[in-house]
Amino acid sequence: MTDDELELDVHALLEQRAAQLARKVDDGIDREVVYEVAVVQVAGETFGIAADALREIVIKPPVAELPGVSSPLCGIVHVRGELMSVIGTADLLNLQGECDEQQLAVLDGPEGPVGLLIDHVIGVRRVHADELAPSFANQDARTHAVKAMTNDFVAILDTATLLGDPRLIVNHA
Amino acid sequence: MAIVDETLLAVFRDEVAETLDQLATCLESLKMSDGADVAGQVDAAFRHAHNLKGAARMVGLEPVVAVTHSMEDRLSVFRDEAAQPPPELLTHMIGALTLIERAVDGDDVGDKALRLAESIRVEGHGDGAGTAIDEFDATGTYTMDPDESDPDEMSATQLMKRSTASENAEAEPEADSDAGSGPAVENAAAGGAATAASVRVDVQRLDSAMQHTGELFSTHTRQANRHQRYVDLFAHLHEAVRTLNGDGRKQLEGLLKTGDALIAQDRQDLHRFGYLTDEISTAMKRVRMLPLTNLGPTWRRIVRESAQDARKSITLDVQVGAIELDKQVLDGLRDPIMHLLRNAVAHGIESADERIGAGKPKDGQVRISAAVHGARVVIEVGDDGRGLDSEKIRAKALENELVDAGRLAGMSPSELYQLVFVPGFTTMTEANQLAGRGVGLDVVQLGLRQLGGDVEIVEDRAMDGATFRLTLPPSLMSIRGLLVRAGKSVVAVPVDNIERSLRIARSDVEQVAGEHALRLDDGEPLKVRWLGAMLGQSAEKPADVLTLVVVTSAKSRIGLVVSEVVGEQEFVTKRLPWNLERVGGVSGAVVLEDGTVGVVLDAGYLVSASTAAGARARARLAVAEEQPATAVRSVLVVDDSLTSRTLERNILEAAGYDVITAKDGEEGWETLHKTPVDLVVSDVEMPRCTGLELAARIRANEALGDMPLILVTSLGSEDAVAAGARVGADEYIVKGKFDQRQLLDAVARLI
Repeated sequence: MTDDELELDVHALLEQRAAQLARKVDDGIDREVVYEVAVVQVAGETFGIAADALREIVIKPPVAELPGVSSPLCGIVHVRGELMSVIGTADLLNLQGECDEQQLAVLDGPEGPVGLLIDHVIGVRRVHADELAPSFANQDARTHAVKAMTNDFVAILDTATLLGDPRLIVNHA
Repeated sequence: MAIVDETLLAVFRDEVAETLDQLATCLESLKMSDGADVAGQVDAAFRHAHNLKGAARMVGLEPVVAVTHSMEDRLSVFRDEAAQPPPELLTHMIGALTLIERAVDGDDVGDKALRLAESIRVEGHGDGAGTAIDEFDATGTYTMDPDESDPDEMSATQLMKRSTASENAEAEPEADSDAGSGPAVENAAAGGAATAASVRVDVQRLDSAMQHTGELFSTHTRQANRHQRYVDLFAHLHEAVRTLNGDGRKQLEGLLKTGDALIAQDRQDLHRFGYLTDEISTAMKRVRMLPLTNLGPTWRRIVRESAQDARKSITLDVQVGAIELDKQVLDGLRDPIMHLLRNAVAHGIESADERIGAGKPKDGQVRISAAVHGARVVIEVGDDGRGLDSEKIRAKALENELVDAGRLAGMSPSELYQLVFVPGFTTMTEANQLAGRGVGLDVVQLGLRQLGGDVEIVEDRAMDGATFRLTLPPSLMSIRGLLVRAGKSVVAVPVDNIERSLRIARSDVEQVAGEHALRLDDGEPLKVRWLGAMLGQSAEKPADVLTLVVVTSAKSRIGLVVSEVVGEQEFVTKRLPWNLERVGGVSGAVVLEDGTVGVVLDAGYLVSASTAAGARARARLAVAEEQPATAVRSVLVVDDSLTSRTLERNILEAAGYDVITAKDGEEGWETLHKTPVDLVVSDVEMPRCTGLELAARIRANEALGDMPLILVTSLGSEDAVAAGARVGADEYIVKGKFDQRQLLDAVARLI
């Protein structure tokens, strides 16, 4: 093989390798992402909180209790210059398991931030349409605040409904 | 009717409120005039009407143009003649202000405006008054050449509109004027703002800036505390270095000298930081302050309309000077004062016939006055009407079962009057549009409490009727508060509501008529409440000496028992989160130097919870009245392993137990003889005295024989467990399978 032929051979090989590396990993089937959620643990159960409703998750700060204010409201905390109510998620969702409640998921509420007590955060996840339990809508949902369920039992919370619960409003007239 | 330019309407509304008030003041002064400075008042009224007309035309409010044109026209005659306008004309003009206000608010008053304009034109008609009116065209629209306006007398609205028009002409000579009005108006507003003496700022931006000021306070306090620790540290270092000798000492002294210099600079910076924080805070508070007189137009309108509805003749005298209040306070005062004014008209002021029969002037008078008393603003709303009927109040209180007859008989007049603030209370036999549904005065009290203030009924020698005194802070943005600890909570009590704090003997607190009370050195009995119980905290260990804070509100007071007084500090207050619309007993929150939140107590609410009228407040708060102390149980933890001892102690203390530790069986045995405990948790394998030996001793001892005992050990064999049972252990927990829940459950089972 002449030098020129060798050079052409090497060039072709490199091109072939580049083409292979540039190939898309998936097989070209588009899977619809229906939810992007932070996956959290509360009282032994797993929930998904929509990423666009979630500001951040912080270590639970000291909670100031308020007189005459009862569950599911726990009190108020101060996070990054803002006061917000703290909600006992397990009480709100009527969960029976044991809670740890070491972290606070800060959500954007209708008129300001709200903190939901969680045990810990597991991670962030994109939920595809084919991962949702198809018959969930027809099943007896534990709570109207869960809008979808994945096949591996991550309950996607309906934060608007959750934060619209009248028990969260306190008006001692 | 011409289409109203919505963009300019906001500016117009801001401007017209003040002008209307000034015009109303002039007209009412003229009506009550004794002849002094008539010419000056007429001239002022003319100018205000003229300005209103010009501004109204710019925003296309033709009905207002029509009415103010008539007023201007008539007033010009009296101005030229330096004559007093007749009372009937002035009454028409004053009535016209209500219509103008309605038009500004968006009501359709077209036909009424024309009729009113005509009635002003003809009322007490003089000479030469009709020329301008003829310029109304068939639609009732007055057309005026804009160049007629004297630029010096142009209103802000007119200036803005003129600026907009000229900018449109320069920038887009071919464009339709309507299409160009949006962006050009903004530019004009900006240009106008650059030349005007004020700038419009969104209140939310001010709030945000104020909250950051609060963070500055907290940061300054933290820095000050840290600085003091540095000072203490260096003092200790100096002492330590003095004990050294040789080169090492010299070297360290050199370093300390550098450190001292740094601390001195830090001290200077700290002082400067504190000064600047105070200055910024004061400046921010000042930015939000608005004159109380801003509410004047609203008050006049309320009294005018209420008097018209009640067919009474009433004048409003406003004497509030230049007092300013924070915008939030001003906004919060609208409803309470509205209720008081309507109450004065409906309840207080008699009909003209009654007044004449009683030897009073035909026209009733309502007065609003304000003054600064220390750190508070005191606003009084009084009338010269019939006053409060004590007998009716007593009768209604008995009828509504607010208080029993015995207690009622012993009530002072001021206590009796407080009953009118109970929700639903009214002495009127029939409700009308104005009052009588029992909804008004409790709203007043609630509104004032939300502002950190209160209301009481006082005797006013200058006014025969009823006078309500509202006391409140001028600003809610910051408070000077006393921090107290109640159980786990730290709360701030506004210093303005504190009479004093003192330590008392528990034995001095007596039971009187089913309540705790204390007699202070001034002889007055004082009701006593436990703040922790009111906040729903669990009872603390009973103590022989109590810390008492005497809290006052509207001449009432109670004593609050707290765990500890932490200190006094200035705080920037924060509003409670959006979902906590009203929390009884809490008026806001503050952020403490460690970043935790302390609630601000609503002293008025707490004090009222102890009065006859405070049934609802009392029911709301968890007034546990020092529950029979659920005594805190104590546990002795015996283990030679520091780690195990620490772990078990932390678990038990977190669960609310008092924990004493011992490092082996012998020490544990000695401790048992010195300190009473409720349960023993012991390791097995220990030097000097094993857990099994300790258990045997305990069971053999007459005094300690029934002591609950848990053995916690790594020995998990059946033999070991059996040995534990033989010596009388109640529970046996294996460390290898240790679970805090298991330990806590075992303890809970036994004690």
